[in-house]
Amino acid sequence: MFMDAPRKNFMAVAFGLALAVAFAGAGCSKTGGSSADQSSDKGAVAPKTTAPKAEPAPPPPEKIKLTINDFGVFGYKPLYAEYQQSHPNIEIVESVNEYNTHHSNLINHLAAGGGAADIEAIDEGFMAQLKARPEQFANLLDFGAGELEKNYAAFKWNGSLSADGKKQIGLGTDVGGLAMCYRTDLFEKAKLPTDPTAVSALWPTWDKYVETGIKFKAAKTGAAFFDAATNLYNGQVFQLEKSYYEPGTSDVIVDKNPGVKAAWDLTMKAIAQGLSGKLVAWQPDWVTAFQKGSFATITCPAWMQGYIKEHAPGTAGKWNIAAVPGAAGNWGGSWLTIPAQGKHQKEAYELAAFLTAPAQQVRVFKAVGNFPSAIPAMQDASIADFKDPFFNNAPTGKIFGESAVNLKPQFQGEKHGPIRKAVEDGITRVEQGRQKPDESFAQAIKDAARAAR
Amino acid sequence: MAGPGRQDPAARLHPALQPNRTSAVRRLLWRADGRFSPYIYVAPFFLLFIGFGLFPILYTGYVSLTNRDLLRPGFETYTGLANYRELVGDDYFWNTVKNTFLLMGMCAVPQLVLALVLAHILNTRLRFRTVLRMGVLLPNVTSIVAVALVFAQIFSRDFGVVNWVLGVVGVDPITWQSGDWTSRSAIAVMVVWRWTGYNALIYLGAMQAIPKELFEAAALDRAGTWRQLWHITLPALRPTIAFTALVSLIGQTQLFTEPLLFDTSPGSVSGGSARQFQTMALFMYEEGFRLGHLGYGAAVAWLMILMTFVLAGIGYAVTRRAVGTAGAAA
Repeated sequence: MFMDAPRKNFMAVAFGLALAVAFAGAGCSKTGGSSADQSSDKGAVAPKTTAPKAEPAPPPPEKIKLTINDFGVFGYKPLYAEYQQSHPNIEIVESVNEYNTHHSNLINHLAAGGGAADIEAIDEGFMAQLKARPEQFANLLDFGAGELEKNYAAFKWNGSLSADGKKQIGLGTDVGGLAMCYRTDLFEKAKLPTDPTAVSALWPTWDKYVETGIKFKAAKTGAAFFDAATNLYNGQVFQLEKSYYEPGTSDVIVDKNPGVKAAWDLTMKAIAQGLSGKLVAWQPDWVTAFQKGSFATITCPAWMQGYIKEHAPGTAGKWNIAAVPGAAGNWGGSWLTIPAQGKHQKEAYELAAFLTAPAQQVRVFKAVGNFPSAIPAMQDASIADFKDPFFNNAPTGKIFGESAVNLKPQFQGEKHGPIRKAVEDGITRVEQGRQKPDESFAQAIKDAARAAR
Repeated sequence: MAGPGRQDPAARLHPALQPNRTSAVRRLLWRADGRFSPYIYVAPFFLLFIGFGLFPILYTGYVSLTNRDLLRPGFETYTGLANYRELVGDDYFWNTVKNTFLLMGMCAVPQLVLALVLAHILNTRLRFRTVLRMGVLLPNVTSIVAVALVFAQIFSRDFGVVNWVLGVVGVDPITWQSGDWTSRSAIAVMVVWRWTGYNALIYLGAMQAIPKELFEAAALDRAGTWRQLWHITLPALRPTIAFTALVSLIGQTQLFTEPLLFDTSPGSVSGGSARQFQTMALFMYEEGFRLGHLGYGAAVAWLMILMTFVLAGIGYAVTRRAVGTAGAAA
């Protein structure tokens, strides 16, 4: 159609050449830097040369925007305001996401080499995986973090230290000491004791906890004994000295660890007895169940208090906190890290150091319940005496303080998170009636091995 | 083509370029024009396509031949076809292929049938016809994340509308996410809701191109509206139907957001506790971005590309046949 009359196409040639020149010009200007390009590139500088009235003035302190990405409830809002007041050139922008979304976004941004915030929070569940790639993060020892080591419990400091001990990628925020949160109104209905000491005496072990659940169920309150079988399972596993990995190695021992099997078996028993609310943690139905009082107990790492307060403020005064069955354990707790791709690493470090300083950790604990990971903060007198009115004036400072002192750190290998998900899926399959316990455990072991590849 | 009459535009050019001074240079220019300028016109699209379409596909192909960790770029080892060999023997991969094709059928068929009915209704005399015609497109322009979240609420076990309605007629609450067919049905409902209006508008456009005389003649012979749909509209729409079927099938191979957000445990990409609704795209994401096996994930991506090619080829053949018979019938 357009090929049959080449003689008529001078305009086309001219246009084509013009186009080619334009392309070539665009290509050149990148390297050569034509004057037109420069003025648009550096719009802020251009007026200086064109407008004579602009006097060379002393440059104001550079305004720096620091971004911080976290998840759940960190309780930092008031601290930002304070920091911005004392550092007028700093503007802090926080972006809060759901737990899993936050961490997978972070991993994708690290892989892409751009898009991560100046400060990224990392939970214990992902720390093992990410600290295996320390080159993706700024080494905080270069900024003088070494002097903070004495502040931290050893397991918290080592938790974010690279395998060779030469790179520290995070500053610890909180630890997830374990307790058991329970609804006093539902316990009263079931004719169980409601006083925390008496309740703690009901369940020295997880077996006794399940037995209490059977009694609770017999009283027919209409509520489930606990929210989700995975939370019962995790509560037990986080008390073990070793869980999915042989400590210090990359050997996966899900199939050989009697502790894991015992936790699994007891969880299966509780499911068979109908004690589970069959909810899935962190999901909208679960949040609604908090508000409606659909379950009576929940395994309560310190940070769970923040979730309850934020998602079910209307249940204030109906909760209390007892000791966790079994031994002390740690579930979760986070670090603030600074991705290596960040442009304001020094400023980000200063902010992270401020947010994680012992004094701030104490304030965060009192506001939302995340228990400090810094020793001076744990030993702060005002924490030992702290009672939380939301939880019927439970002495949360004492409860979580004791569990933090008795903490035995659990070794977590690189693929701890995906392995845990594989086993949790197995529990959910039984809970949903898709598989028999043995069948599901066999598959969970296979899936765990696959996740650990 | 733009000038008045057939005046030679070259007459206005520089004397050196006048046609009566035909030189070797000029002839070369003419020939170059005829041969190359079309390529310059289409170049912008192809440059973009090469940069943002072809290159990623080929690079993914290269990555699929390596063993590479997501967070350690540059440290890959070349493994040849090992990823593909492993993939072919991977039950979880074939499970996602099965799920993807099941969902393809469950989504495409109801969606196209409903779209046809909807288009037929919109093609009749209605009040607020334009408003309704625009309205059917609303689900398609709604943010897919919002759609998935709303539907997750609708299908929620304890407080969802669907279970409430079922409860009224005496059915026990269903945990939609946990069953094989319940979960897939719920996802299919989401997809159908989203794409029916879009296809209906395409059908509507095609219906309006059918000569009115055919319908008038049929009406004179006392054919009702549904009879007209069956005997006049449908045969005339054959090529359009083949086209929409092809496009929606290809779209379904990439089904990702709906099953991702429908999963009960937030952020889970395994498509339910027993992978009952994990699609190929979710599996690719799980391997590549969750477990960090970028090479393996890339191999999944390449098998998806091949399947799409095969589907497109089949679709092309079917469409050609459909157009051929429709042409013969007219």
